[in-house]
Amino acid sequence: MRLSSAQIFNQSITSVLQKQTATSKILDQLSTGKKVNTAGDDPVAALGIDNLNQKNALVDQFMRNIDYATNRLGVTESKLGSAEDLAGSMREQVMRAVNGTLSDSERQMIADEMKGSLDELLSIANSKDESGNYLFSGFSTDKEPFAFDNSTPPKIVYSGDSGTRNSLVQTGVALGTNVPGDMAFMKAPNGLGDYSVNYLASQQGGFSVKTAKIADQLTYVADTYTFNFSDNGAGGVDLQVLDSANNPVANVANFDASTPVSFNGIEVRIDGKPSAGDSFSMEPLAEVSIFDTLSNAIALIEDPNSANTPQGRAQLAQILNNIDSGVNQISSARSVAGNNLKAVESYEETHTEEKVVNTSALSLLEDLDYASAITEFEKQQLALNAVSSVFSKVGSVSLFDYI
Amino acid sequence: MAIDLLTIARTGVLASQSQLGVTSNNIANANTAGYHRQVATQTTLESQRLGNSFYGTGTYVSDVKRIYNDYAARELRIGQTTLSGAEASYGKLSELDQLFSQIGKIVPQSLNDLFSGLNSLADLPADLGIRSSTLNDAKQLASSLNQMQANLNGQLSQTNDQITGMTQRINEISTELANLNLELMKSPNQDAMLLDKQDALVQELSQYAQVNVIPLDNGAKSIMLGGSVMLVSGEIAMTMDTKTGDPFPNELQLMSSIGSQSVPADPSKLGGQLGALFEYREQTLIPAGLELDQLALGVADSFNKLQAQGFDLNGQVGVDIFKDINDPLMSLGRAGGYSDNTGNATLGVNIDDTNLLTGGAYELSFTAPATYELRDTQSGAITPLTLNGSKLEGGAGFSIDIKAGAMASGDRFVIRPTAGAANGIEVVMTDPKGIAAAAPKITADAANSGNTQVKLTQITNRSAANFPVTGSELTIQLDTTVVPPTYEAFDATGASLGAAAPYTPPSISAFGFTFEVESSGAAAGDKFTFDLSFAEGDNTNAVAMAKLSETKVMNGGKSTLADVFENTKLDIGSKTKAAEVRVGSAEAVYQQAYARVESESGVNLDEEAANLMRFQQAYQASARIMTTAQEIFDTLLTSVR
Repeated sequence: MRLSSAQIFNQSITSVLQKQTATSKILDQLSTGKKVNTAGDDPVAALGIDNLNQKNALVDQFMRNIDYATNRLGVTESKLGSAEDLAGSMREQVMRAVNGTLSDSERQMIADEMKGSLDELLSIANSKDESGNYLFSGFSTDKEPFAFDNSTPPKIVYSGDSGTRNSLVQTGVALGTNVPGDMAFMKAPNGLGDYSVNYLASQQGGFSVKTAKIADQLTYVADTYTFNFSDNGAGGVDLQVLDSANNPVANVANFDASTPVSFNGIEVRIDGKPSAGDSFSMEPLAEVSIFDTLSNAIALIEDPNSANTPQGRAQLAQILNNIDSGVNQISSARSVAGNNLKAVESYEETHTEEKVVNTSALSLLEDLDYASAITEFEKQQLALNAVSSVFSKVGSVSLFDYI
Repeated sequence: MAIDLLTIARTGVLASQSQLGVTSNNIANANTAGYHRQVATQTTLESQRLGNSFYGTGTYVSDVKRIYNDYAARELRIGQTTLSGAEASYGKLSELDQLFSQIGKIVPQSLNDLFSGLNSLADLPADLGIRSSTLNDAKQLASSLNQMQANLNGQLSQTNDQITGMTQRINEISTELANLNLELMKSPNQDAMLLDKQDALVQELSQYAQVNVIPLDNGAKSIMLGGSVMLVSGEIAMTMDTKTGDPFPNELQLMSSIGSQSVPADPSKLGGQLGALFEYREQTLIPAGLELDQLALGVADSFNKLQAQGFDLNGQVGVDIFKDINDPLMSLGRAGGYSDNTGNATLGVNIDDTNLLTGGAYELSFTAPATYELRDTQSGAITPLTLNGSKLEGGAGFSIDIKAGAMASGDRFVIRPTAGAANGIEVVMTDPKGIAAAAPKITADAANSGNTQVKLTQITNRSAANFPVTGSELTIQLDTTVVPPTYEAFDATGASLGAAAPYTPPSISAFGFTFEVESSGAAAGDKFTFDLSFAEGDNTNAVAMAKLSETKVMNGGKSTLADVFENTKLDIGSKTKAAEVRVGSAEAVYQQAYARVESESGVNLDEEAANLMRFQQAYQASARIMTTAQEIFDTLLTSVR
């Protein structure tokens, strides 16, 4: 086939240009260290790279959220731990104080000690985080949650709410990062069940209410009930239960402590032996606060008249029951925080693993294999050299040199 | 008459001279672009009869022929058109690819930053510093979308400039070709130089569009572009022009004019660089812009909707963070009427559901008496629309509002529901306290019919009697079967707070708050329980906003917000790759066609060198005849004396 001079030059020059373009492309890759710089370099790989990058960003965000959550839950858990210990030690103080051999002044000292501990408990419940937000206020982080009012004995007032702040730690998983104060300190179940008992100073017999529960919801009537024990003339006592309108709702002749008293869907069990003329009242109270319980305990210890009376002893039994319930409540709130911490830890592990997998997949798709790239580069250079030298040899031969 | 040696010699010498001239011309023009080599053909002169034999009388150059293969030239033109088109496509696509992959990284990055800010906000909802920084992240996102759109607009104006420049060059070529035709038609002989010039011009023209050559007499050629636009007809040159677009002014149209009349030309038939640029603009650049707009709408709408569902730091129902997607200014730029419409309707487009938007473009056509049809420009699917008052409903996620005037039969409009959003998105919230991190609890009763929805619009007085908070929630029962509809409120114990009272739809304002009732069907006993308590540590709505990073809120529930951008980027990436492959194969085809043309018409210097020698020898030999004739004559003369 006939070749024109222009064609000969064109052929060589095109080869040289092509080799140069290929070399420049490899140089570009070598300098960025990536095979895929724009989506146009390799659209199929670019799809995978984008998805992996998105997943990594998501995992990073989850890990940041886990950090925040760990921070908050850690502080919460440790504060609740201190509160639990403190409440437990206050129980010990109560046990010490009701020892009959103590004098009034010694009891007063214990009462003062307990007041100090109660203040400490209050300040733990009112602790703030690093930004000045209250830890145990639920959502109302700007309001101090716990305060005693001015009644005697002081009653606790909870000004927070029951909100739990969630944090996204995994796809579809929102974990609570705080414990609302009412769950930890206010909603301990009543040790006796559903009713709280008021013992009177006139109590002679040594008895206390063991449990007072709602037995049958269908016939239950909520009311304040008064229990009156009267002499039945035969050496025993009769029990009459009145409701708040002074209507009798139950009559038990020859009251025996081993049989429970049932009326209006309520079942009451009494421990001990009531004397004739004794009476007590009970009102509905399903939940007690550890603060109220401890405040009542201090009032009991301080009152020299009630310390060793039947009323005092019965009251003490109730108080101890409620302190146990309160400490349990703090403990279970603490374990909620503790469990969340554990869950968060395991999510963090999952996320770290996922990140490693994603990053290595990303590297496979995106990163340049330097060894093969440099080999390719050398190959191109060799080809370029070959073409260039051929160009000069072929181009320099001309008939005009010989005529 | 005897054999005339001198004359024969003279013819030989003259013929050799011509040959040498042609060969030298070839050598001199070896590097001239578009030059086809010339060959002189020698023919013998008429022979003369002497006695019984015929004696030749010499030679003459009968023709200087230009070696030109019409078929090869046509192949070369076609190859050139394809190559130029592929290169132009690849160039533009590669630019756009770089734009989306490198510069465009800022869009998904700022989206992630916003979500990061929201997650920090979920941790400390009352912190003003974090709120401020989150609002800044939102501003950053809006401005990155603005920037990206500005870059795309820059690409559009660049493309327009290129198109304008090309039409100007086409016009210049057209004028020159017409002049050449005039020259060629004057003389019956074909001047090779003029023909070469004509060929070079046609070759350049084929870069810009597909050229069809219609041969006329004497080598003159008429030129048609793309088989549809007449450019040169004999000695008359037509021109091509660009005109502001219809209906969108910055999408230039191509026009072709004959004398004083101007008709629009269809660029899709042209091929070459012009065709490639128009295809790039229509098929890639504008759709990419519309998809970016779709993302902007999704961002603005999702966040604004969630804001309205929460309480800000002042305990008030949240207001918009981003500019409303149905802002009147934005809603007008979404529809454009063709200039040949006879009606005078002004349309606006309202976005009803960003989830259903497709990011595409549609054409609305009206035929009297009441047929409104919406055609999807990409798929060609036709959806009939129903007129409801002054609203045309039935579009995917949007409805068209006839704001003024009326349509006449045959009117057509281009509808781009997402247009202008990426340009227009901005943060309108200035107070960081406005971010709604907390959420009220409004629960619909399980036995509700599903025809009624409520939306809280305002908190007027938190200390009003019976204001619903945790522990004293309010249940409101609606009756939409009567006119006017009534509502009755019950407190937390179930006691009624008053008899059923009528209200003027759609809002009810009572107990210190206002809410709107949306009723898609009458229902008698739908109940909703309200708990509107607010505390500044409540992060429920902030968590909901943070969840948006994973929630598939776009494209009918198939894509997240970031996916919309990534899809566009990958789409452009694969188009770029395909264009790169096309360039490779177009290049190979072109090279083959070029080789064929060169092989026939190209000058080979070695060949010409050999020819030089050959004709030089022929010249010398012919000159020698003269010497011989001269000596014969001298011999004759001396012998007679």
